[in-house]
Amino acid sequence: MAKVSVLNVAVLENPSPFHSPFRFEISFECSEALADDLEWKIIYVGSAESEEFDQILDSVLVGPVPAGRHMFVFQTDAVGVTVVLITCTYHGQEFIRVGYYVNNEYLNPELRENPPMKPDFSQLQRNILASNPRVTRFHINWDNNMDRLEAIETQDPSLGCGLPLNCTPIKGLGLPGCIPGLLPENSMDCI
Amino acid sequence: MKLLKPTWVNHNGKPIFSVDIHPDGTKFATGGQGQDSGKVVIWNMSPVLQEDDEKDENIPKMLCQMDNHLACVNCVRWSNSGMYLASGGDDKLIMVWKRATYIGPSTVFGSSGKLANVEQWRCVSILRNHSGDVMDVAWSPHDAWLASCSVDNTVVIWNAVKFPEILATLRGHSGLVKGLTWDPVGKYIASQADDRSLKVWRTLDWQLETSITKPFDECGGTTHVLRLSWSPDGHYLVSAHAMNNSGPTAQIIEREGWKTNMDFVGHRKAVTVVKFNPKIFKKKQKNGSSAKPSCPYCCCAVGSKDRSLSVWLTCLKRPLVVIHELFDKSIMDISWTLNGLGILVCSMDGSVAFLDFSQDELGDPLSEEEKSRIHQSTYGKSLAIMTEAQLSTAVIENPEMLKYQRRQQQQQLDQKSAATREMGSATSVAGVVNGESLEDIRKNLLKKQVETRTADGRRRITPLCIAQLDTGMNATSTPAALSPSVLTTPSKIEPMKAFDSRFTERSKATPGAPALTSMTPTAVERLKEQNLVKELRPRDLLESSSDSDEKVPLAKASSLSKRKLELEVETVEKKKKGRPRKDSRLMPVSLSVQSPAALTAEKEAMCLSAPALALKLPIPSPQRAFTLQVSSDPSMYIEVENEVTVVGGVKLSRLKCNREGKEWETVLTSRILTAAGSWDVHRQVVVVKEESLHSILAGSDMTVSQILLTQHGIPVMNLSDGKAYCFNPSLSTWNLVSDKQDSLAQCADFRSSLPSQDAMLCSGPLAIIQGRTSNSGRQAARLFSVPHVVQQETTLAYLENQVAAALTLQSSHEYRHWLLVYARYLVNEGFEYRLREICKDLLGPVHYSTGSQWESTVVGLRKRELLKELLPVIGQNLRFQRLFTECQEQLDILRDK
Repeated sequence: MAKVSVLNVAVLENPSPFHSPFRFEISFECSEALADDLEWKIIYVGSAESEEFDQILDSVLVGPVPAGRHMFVFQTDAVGVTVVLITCTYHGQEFIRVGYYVNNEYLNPELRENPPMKPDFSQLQRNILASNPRVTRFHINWDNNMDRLEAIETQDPSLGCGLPLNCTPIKGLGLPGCIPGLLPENSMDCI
Repeated sequence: MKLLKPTWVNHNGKPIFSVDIHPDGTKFATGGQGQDSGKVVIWNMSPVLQEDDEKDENIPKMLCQMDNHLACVNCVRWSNSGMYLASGGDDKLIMVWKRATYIGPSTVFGSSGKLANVEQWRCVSILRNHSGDVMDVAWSPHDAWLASCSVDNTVVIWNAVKFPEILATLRGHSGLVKGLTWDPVGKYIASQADDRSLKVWRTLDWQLETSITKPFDECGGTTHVLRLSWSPDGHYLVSAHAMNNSGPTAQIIEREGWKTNMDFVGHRKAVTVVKFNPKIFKKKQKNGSSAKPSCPYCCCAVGSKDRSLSVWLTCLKRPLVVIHELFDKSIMDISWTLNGLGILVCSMDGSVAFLDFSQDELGDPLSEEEKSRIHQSTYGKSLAIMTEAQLSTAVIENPEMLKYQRRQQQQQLDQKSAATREMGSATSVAGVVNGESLEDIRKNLLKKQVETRTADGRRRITPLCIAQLDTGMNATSTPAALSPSVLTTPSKIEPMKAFDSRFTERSKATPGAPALTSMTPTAVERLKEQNLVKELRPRDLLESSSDSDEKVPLAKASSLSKRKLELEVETVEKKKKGRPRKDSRLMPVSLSVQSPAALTAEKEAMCLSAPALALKLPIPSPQRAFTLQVSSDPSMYIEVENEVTVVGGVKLSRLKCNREGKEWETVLTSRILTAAGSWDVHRQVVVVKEESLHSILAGSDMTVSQILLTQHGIPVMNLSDGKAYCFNPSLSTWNLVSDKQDSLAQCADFRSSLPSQDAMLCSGPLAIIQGRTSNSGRQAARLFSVPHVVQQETTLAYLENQVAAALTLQSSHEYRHWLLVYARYLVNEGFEYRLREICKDLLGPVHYSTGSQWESTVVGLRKRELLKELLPVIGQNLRFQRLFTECQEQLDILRDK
């Protein structure tokens, strides 16, 4: 079951002037502490048909994430998009995708009727259709196990062999006093 | 009988595999297939029961739904307390759910507000062990265990007090296990599987009690589930799908000898589910008819693949009612309401039916009391021990008592209202963090947010935590009213790890060590002088033969012991080995061997002292004399005289020991003395005791595993067999304070008397010595296998031991803790005499008299203050209101003085 569930994404300062940054206040709940950070991305969907044209506008790591309810504000300066996606990945696996339609229009009704050939950005207002997010959830593997290593390996083969091999446990780190051979010396000192 | 099919209870047309009504009757859960996952839904019961509620838009029908199971949910079951819900599914998992009270209703984000969860149920444990679909889960009576069965042919018993601990895996079925039921008195658990057998397992040792196959020989085909059931009086176990003369039946198995003489016949296809009514009934007394006492009977519902349901009374030969064509597909699960008059049935066709019976139809349900009396008379014990209901009619005589009772109720109300307040409109404000409202937090979130850069230059935001999760399984027990006993004190025990098992092993390892012959003769001479070789009287030695024979294997290193013997060694272990008695014939051996042995001895003494020196310990001045008694054997004691002399700048302590008329002396260097303070003397005894234990345990290899000194200077010694002793200076005895194998500790069950979960973590020397090994599972196991009277006795004995041990250790916090637990147990179980004794002692004489031996304090605590703390506990049970009044009045008198 998913360790992280998104409770809400609030779009702040909406509607707002065209050039102002996007601000999403994201609250989520985590059922058990995560070993690694979550990665949140804002993606511009270039084409509805293909992910090929998706552009990552901004990404941010969020962590550490203990069990509980958390919130943060994801702010980015990306402008001029019509569809925006917020995705979250853990260990490179996407588990939630929230999509919003963005509507850019002139405040002035006259301009709205007869938009100028060259857009006048100062007059444009950006309105995110916050009341109607499209939420898709995916089942992913939340545990730290081999699958994850494999995933990393497929992404970047150079990482796979980067693990140090000299991690044999050091022996005899127990109580040194337990080694009988050490004792007579001590006792001689005492005498 | 009324029949209703609430159409709104559905999984969008997907099959519903399981249904279970919450013990408080206000809600029920269904489990089954979801959209692309398993689905658990919690529904409101009142719209099922009342038409008005069904029509009322403001009354929610669905309370919560959980899509967390990855595949179809086969079983949902509420714990008996109603606190938890367990669900098992095709994803091989069992999830345990608990209601999160701190959050209010919320919607699933992005689901356009339609699927609002009115209640929040959170998965607190995921139990992973099965390698196949989980088919059925069942909570034991008293919720000590959770059992699950799976198509991997096993049944797993989980420790419900400590998830995800597994207590046992029951192997033996050779087919898919599809149903489970607990014996109502907790002695057995039964499972039915596709391997054409029904197996009964003992909860005492989790071994197979019996395997019943005959009624299932003809069973072909497969049913999805085989939910069997045990009657509430414990007499009968009724199986799902069985065959008799090639007709499908539900087999009745008698507890007495597991006889299979009867069955429920009539269904045309295999029986999938059998469910007993939780109530036992007796015939409705008709007005005017003679009150002829009739035998109590049980009621049982049987559901089948033939889509029909039959309800039977064990006093009738024919079914009470049969409902055909209730569903379009097989019946999958049945659940009775706790009052025994309602029944919910679910089907593979995705619908649910509710049947409502009247008391005229079923009979008069016996009260829980009467039920437990039946259990008591049949099995000598009952699970419901002390019911509040019994006392509800008692008159409250004392206004103070009334006050306490009221306050208690008030607190419960407060807690409830607080909970509801928290749950209240989450849409406005969901919570408060550090006194700040969520709104405030949100305003400043961006400013406050901590943003850093990672090594590779990426932005990293630390999220703001706005609520903790109450994931703890047990954190819910409401803290006992009026006794805010948080008993955590920093313990100041300094374990002398240096004296671990090596202590004795070393001495074994150096038999006859001739290595140190290079020691200068002068040193040897000095040693001789100092040692004052003891006078051993052969007579005594010959006499004291009784236990020495058993110890022979221990003293295998005979050559060494010989030599040591003559010296009556410096080191403790040596003494143990060299106990003179057994080698009495060797006594005359000359001193020629003495010096090398002395050297080894001396050397070892040093070895031992060396690590000890590294530790800082309180150093009481060496005590002059002791009489030490070994507690395990009252006849064994040692008198020790301690003389400190200074020889050549080194303090030497000469110990003169006298045991059973035998005397010996030993010399310890000051190093040991200063290092160890008081216990060097005791150590002598430690060793002697060890020896005596050896004799008791007939040669089992035992060593001292740890020696501790508490902050009060009480020496404590752990033995490798799990026993721990502490020295009681006032009585000069070694007292057993802890025994891992102590059957008392394992039998004792006082969980209900613990003030709260927090207080269980009462720390102190005693807790450290005894460890915090939770043996709740074992406790529970005993609970079900031991008659209640025995259980009470052992619990009392155990608690008394704990109080005494805390007293011996002079650990005041623990003393208070255990005293309160003990008192609470007495209150709960109704032991007036003992409770009175405690109160009397704590109160002391009201009128001062010179002859009184009464001490006003105990381990630094004022007894009367303790009594004041005890009063609210006593006040919880109306039965003790007289005692309460007495104590209260006398305390008042004392205060006025």
